[in-house]
Amino acid sequence: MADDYKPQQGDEADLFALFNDQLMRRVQRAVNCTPEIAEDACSIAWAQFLRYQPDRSREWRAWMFKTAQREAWALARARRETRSLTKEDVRGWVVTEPLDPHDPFRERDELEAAVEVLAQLPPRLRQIAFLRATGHQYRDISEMTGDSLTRVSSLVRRANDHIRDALLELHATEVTTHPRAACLHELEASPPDWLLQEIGRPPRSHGGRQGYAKRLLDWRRAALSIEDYRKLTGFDSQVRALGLRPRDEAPAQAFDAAVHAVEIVNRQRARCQELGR
Amino acid sequence: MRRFQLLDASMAFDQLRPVMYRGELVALAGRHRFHLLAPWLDDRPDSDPDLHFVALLCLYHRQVLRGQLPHSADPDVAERWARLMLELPGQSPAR
Repeated sequence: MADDYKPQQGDEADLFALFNDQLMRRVQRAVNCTPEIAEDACSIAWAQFLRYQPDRSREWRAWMFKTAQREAWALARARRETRSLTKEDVRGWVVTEPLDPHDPFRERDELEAAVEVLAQLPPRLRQIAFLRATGHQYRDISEMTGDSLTRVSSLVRRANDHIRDALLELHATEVTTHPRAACLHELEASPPDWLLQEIGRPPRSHGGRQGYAKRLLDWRRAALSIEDYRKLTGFDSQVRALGLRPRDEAPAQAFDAAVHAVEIVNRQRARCQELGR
Repeated sequence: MRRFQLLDASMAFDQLRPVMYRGELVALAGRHRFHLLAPWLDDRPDSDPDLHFVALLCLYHRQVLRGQLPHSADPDVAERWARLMLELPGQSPAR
């Protein structure tokens, strides 16, 4: 046997016996493919398992599922692409859209963003987020990690909060080239006096507390609504965000939208002050 | 009724047995197909004796799954069966 492969650890057959049925069912359910494709995909995943010998104390099951799922997608797509043409197809010479509607570049960007977001999570939450992202149910995660279902549910919620915060921050830094996003970025980075008077500074994260993402989103909506109103009406007071309600329909609508958004932010600020945040 | 039949059909997985060779998992065998897993088998030519031997092991497991050979809990039985097959007249590992 060649020496450049990692040696087997002796538990491979036992792990196969324990996990393969579950793996094939999950892959078939996730990809909605035939049993043959699920079997082929899982076999390829086991071959990868033997080749790379992942650490058994880590999430090798999730890694296996992801590998098999990816292979199943590829096999299912290949099967569709090699489907025989019928006489009717040839007669009509129907030109169809490409079979794979996914944009590989966008997917790669999204994957990189997801990896970046996951990397920001504490290890405990990263593990949970990874298992959830790879399609595992709460019960499965509970079995793998030894946590109770309640604990898993709590960890998933915390992981989601972290991810939402991280995505918002990522989004805010990535899209600054868009004029509206650039405007928002400027309002956030150095809020003018009129904005501070009306809705205060942007909320800050307090260690991933639940609700931060929503508060930030509402603050941004209010800031942009006010900005829209000011641009539309030409209102340029340095100390007041909003003037009197205009009579014309469009500016009046912008005024109402801004007032509504400001009220939401101020209600939240009052609630946070009550809670001592 | 038809829906239940479809669901049943979708879940009809072929049973797979792990194929062991020299104490290592090398392949998976089913009633109709088998899958070579061990990375060291990837580059072997068709005439390779190890590859032949593993293929015979897969055949053994297929026969067991089809009920044509008795199941044995002894992991060495498959290898003994494969060696026996190779020793039969007209059989050669490098055929």
